[in-house]
This record gives sequence, structure tokens and C-alpha cells, in this order.
Amino acid sequence: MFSNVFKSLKSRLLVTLIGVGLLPLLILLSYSLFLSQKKMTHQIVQEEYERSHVIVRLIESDLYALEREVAFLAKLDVMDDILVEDLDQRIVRLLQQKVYDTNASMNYYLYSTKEKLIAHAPRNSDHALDLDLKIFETKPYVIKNGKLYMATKVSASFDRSRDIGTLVLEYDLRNLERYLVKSEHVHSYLLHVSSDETVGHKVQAPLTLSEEKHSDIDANYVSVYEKMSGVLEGWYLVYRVDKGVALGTLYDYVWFILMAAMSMIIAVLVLSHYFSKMIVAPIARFTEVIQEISSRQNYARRVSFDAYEEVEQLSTAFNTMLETTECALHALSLENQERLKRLTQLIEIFNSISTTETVNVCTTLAIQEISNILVTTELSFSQEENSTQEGVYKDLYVMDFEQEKRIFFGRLYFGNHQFTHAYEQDLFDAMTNMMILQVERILLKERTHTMSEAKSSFISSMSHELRTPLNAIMSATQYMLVYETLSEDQVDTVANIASSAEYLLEMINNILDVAKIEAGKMEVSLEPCRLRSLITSSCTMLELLAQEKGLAFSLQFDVAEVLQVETDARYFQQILVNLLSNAIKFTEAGYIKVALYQEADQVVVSIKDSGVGISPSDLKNLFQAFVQVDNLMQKKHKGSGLGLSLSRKIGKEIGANVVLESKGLGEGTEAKIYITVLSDSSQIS
Amino acid sequence: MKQLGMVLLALVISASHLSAQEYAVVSFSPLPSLKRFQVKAIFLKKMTYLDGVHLIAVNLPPDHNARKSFEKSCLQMGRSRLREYWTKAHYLGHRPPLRKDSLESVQRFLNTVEGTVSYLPIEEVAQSMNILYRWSD
Repeated sequence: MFSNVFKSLKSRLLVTLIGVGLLPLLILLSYSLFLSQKKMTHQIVQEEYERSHVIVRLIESDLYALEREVAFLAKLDVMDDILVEDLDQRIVRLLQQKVYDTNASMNYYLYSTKEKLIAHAPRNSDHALDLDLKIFETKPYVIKNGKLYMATKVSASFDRSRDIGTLVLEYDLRNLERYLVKSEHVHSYLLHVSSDETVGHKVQAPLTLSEEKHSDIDANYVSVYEKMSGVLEGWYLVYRVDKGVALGTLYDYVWFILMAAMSMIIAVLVLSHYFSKMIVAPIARFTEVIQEISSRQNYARRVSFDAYEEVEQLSTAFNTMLETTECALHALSLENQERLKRLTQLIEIFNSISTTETVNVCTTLAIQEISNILVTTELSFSQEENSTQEGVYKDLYVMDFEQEKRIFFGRLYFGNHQFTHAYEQDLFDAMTNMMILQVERILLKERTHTMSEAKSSFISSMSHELRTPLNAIMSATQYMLVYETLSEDQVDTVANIASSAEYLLEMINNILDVAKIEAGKMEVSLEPCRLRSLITSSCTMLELLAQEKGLAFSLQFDVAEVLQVETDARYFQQILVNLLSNAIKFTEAGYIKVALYQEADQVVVSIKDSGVGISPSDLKNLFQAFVQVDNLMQKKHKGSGLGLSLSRKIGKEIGANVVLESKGLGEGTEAKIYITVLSDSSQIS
Repeated sequence: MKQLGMVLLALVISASHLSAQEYAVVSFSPLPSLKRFQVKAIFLKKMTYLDGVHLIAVNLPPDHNARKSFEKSCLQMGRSRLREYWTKAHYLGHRPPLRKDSLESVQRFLNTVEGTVSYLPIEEVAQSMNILYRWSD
């Protein structure tokens, strides 16, 4: 299937253009959809991570600042007032100011070394710290119930080695919510993994935090998280964004890329189709013009395309080819006419030569025509083999059919004529061969005619010479048969002699008739005859023979009494009697039916019997002279085998056609005589 | 008239003598009496130990009369001069004496922290306090 597709230039161009157009697009699309998408996702996650990292740093920084602040406060000289139980309320004021400056939910507690609460801020907070200060002996800060506790030992400013109290900061971790985000699509919170304690709004969707990575993308959220250090050691900042929001830009980008790709694919397909069609269009038009030229044989037509340089060059070359073809066809046409003319001449010459009756006329005419065709006057013919004439010549030989070898007929001299072309030589050879053939035909005809005349003359003479003594024999036997003194055996012998003589005379007469016909000496007298009367008289003559054999004899006429045909009545009757005799002779039982009817412009005389019949193979040879069918009946009835042959030959002379039909041995035979009806007598009864 | 003028002057002088405030540099630590220059050295943090006791000087607020009197009589240094001094001392790693905002606080501090040396109006000095130096306006 693809091989058929790629046979088309348009298909190839289309596939190539689409391939060239789509390949970079597909590469770009693949890059955009896969690699780019992966990169963008990574970048988005990284950005979210950076954002959360900044928040982590801010929180850590904030808490570190608090830690430093507490430490700083603990080192202030005013803290010495612990020793005087802050009688001047300076520490309280200081702590209150710090709380106020910090602007956060937080409390300061200052305890003396005897764990007596010296000062706390703000004033309205609970005075008691629900915490055992000993916990700070192992670690400086504690997170409990959502609050961060930072504690610092306070030393006397005048003697840093002397602890005078403990400063505790109670910091509500909800203060850190200002760093967290709680919106419809974005949530961030602090999560303590082991205690599942959280700060901020925790998203209930499950999230597994891993040490190895810092992000996770599930069906609903893009989550980034970072482990915190310092005060919030063991805590994570979790930053979760609705996937649709986080990757919204990416989705928009992918959608845009897909739409752009679809548009570009459609554009590539349309442009490829357009350009392939545009490129192939001149070729298609070129093909149409060529087909038009081919179908109309209009080689005068010229093509003109200025679409591309190549097509223009092609059209120019094609026009040149058309001009050449047109010239060639014109030359071919002229040459064809010339050859036709020459062929006509040759046919005429051959007709002229073939109609010549004598050798001299034939040779003279042939030499003259050859001279005309070769346009030379130097051609001459001589029947002398030892001629002294000089120049180029060709000896001609003819077939001697008597000796069955070729004998010298004559010599054709060319003089100084030179054959300019091979076809001239071929023409000359053909004409001389034609002349030789005609000469041979004439010679053969003359010889045949002579032999036929000799044969006819011989047969006529022989017949005549045979009939004369045969007549004497017949006369003598007739005389002896009526002589009373002969014994009965002698009469039988003489009767046999008479019978044999009659048979011999009939045969001689038949041979004589055949000879006459073949010699063309048969004289027929064609004149209008009434067939019915001719047939009636013949049937009357032979009906008795049929009746003697016990055969049913019928005669039926389906034509008018006045129906006439132009024929020789004597010979017609001879044919009819011959056929009737054969029918009676070869029918042992049954019937003989004679009928006369008309078929178109011919009248048919049918003699049908129920006799022995003829096989199809024998039917073909029956009209040849001296041929008889070899059957039992034939053995009973002597014959020369000339009857049917003679009947047909006579029929041809008198305008009648004799036909014999049989369905096979034992199926009877039907002999028909066809003869043309005279037009003014064709009245059917 | 001349006699009247002399009488008035005598009255004023006697009145001023009658209203003069007396102060004392005190400590609960067993310290010997001090000379003015010793008191000055303690409060300028030139002297931090005395008889094996780590001395901790405690001031009253700058606007307190006792402090004004102390600076005038004992230190004999004006406020600007003192500021200049502590500015230089700050860069040498010394800090001014501690300050308490009330006499009660000073008294509590004196009672609480050994080696504390401060000054009080004489009427605020307790029986148990050791008076190291006295002066009056």
C-alpha cells in the first residue's frame, strides 16, 4: 500500500513537508510536555521550597533574636534589682517595655535564686509559671502546650559569677502564625513530628515527611517541608499548596503548548497540502496537456508554464520534442503517402503483370514498369544466354514443371544503373520475382491447357473410335437375339453381350460428356422451361422401375404450373433421371419421394429415398469422378462412378446446383437440385 | 538701719545653719572609716577592694539630693566632668556604679549584698550600718 502511495510525487512531497514541518514541532512539543514540564515542576517546587526556607530562616532568626534578647536582659545591671526584689519596679518596667516593643503574646518571669517570683510582665498575666525551673538545668528552652519557654540565669552585674536569679520567657508559639499562611489554596504550619503538635492550620491530607527529600506531590497538594533547627529542633515547617494553584502556570503553559502545537500541526498539514499541491499542480496540468495532445493527436499544440524554472525548462524541452515529433510525423506521413503511392503502383503493376496472357507481353510490361520505377532507361532484357551485351545483369530462371528443375529464362541488363537504396534493390527483386512467377504461371497454364486439350482430344477420339465398333457389336447382338435358330443358352450369352455393350456404351457416353465439359466443348441451350412438365415426364419414365421393386413413389409439386426456369431441358432431365435412378437403385424397400418447392428465388427439386444412406465421410467424395461408395448395394449394382460427378458438372453448365444430403448409413438419402427461378414466373401455388 | 541689716544677715546665716542636711557613706560590711579621697576613689571605681572586701558602689538617681550633694561634696566633680570621666572610663572597661532609684532599694541592697557602699541621708542610716564617711551640705 505504501509503495503505491510513495509512487505519487504529491504524496512524497506531502509526506516530506509534513515530516520536515512536524519533526521539529514534535521535538519541541516533547521537550515542552515532558522535559520542560519536569523542569518547571521542579522549579515550582524549588521556589516553594525557597519560600518556605525563607520563612524557616525568619522564624529561626526571630526565635534566636528572642533568645539573645532574653540573654541580653539577663545581663543588664538593672537585673541586680533582683537582690532588692525590684523595689523600684525597674525590672518590671523594663520587661513590660520589652513585651510592648515585641508586640507579641509573651510573658517574662523573673525568679530569684530562691525561686521567688521577683517580676513578671505584662502585669495582667498570670503570676505563676506552671513550670518547674529545674527543667532548665538541662536545657535552656522547653516547648509545652504550644508555648516556648526560654530561661536564662541572671548574674549580678558586679559579680558575674554570682547567680542572682532566673529570667524566663514564655512565648506563645501562635506568635509564629504571622509567618504562616492560611488561605484557600495555600497552607503552611509548623509540625512536631513525634508529638504531632502543630502551629498554624494543619491540612488533614496525609503527608509523610522524609529526611532525604523536602517535597512531595500528591493528587491534591504540592508540599514542601524543611526541618527546623535551633529552638525548634525536631519541628518541620510544612508548606502545602493546592496542586491546581501551584502548578496552575504549568497547566496553563501545557495547555498553551498543546493548543499552539495543535494549531501548528494543522498549519503544517494545511501548508504541506497546499505547497505539495502547488508544486505538483504544473505537473498535473502538464500531464493533462500531454493527455490532450495524445488523445487528439494535436502535435501542433504547445505548452507554456512559468511556475518554476525547472517546469519552464521542462515545458521548453517538451515543446522542442513536440516540434521534433511533429516534423517527424509530417515526414513519416509524407513517406507513408509515398510508400502507399508506391504500393499502389506496385499493386497496379502486379495486377497488370498477373493479367498478362503471354510471356512476351509479361516480360515487356515488367521491364517497362521496372524501368519506370527505377527511373532508368538502361534496363533491357535478353533471352539469349550467351549474349555479348556488356554491363551488370541478372539471370532469371523459371521452373520447368515437366523436368521439375529451374531453367534459364533470360538475362536482365542494368547498364550503368546503380541501386541507391536497399529498398530499391528489394523492389527490383520483388518485381523480377513477380515477373518470373507470372511467366511460370503462363507457362504452366499453357502447358495445362495443351495437356487438357490433348486429353480431351484423346478421350473424344477414343470414345468415337470405341463407339463405332460398339455400335456394330450392339447391332449384331440385336440381330442375333431376334434370330430364331439360336438355342436358349446362346440367346442368354448374346443377351449378356448386348447388355455389356450397352453398359460400355453408357460409360463411354458419360466419359465423353465429362471430356466435353472439361474441354469446354459442351454445348448447352439455355431457354425457359416449365419444370413441372420436365419432372413429370422423367418420373413417369422411372416410376415403373420403382413399382417393380415395390417402392412407394410419390410426386408433389408446391409451385405453380407456369413456373419457369432457364436451363437446358435435355441435360436437366439427364440429371433428374440420373438422381432418380440412383434413388431407386440404392433403395430396397420403402419410398421414393419427389418434391418441387421454392426457397427464396430458387426452386428446389428434392428426390428423397429410404435407401442405404451415405456416411458423412463418404458424402464428401461422392461428387468426384469414378468414386463409388463401398457398400452391399454397390456390389449388387455396377456403375462407373461418373453419375454424380457428371450430374454436378452438367448442373453447373445449365445453371443448376446438385447437392446430396444424408443423415448417415441406413437413414436414406436426399438429392436436391437448386435452380434459379425466372423472375416473371415465380408464382407460388 | 545698719544694725537691722546685720541682724537680718545673722538670721539668714543661722537659718541656713539650722537647715543643713547631713549625709553619710555607709556599708554593712566591716570597713574602716574612709577619707573623702577614698570615698571618691570607690565611687570612681578606682578602688574596688578594701580590707579584702569587694566594694560595690551604689548611686542614687542623678536628680536625688543626696546624689547631688555627694557629687558636690565628696566627689567634687560637676555633672559634665563626671560624664566626661565615665566616657573615658567606659572605653577602659569600667562602668559607673550601680544605681538604685530609691533609698529603700539602696538600703535593701546594702543589706543584701556584701561590700555594698552607698550614701544616705543621715536620718536614713540604720543603727546597724557602718558609717564610713559623713558630710553635710
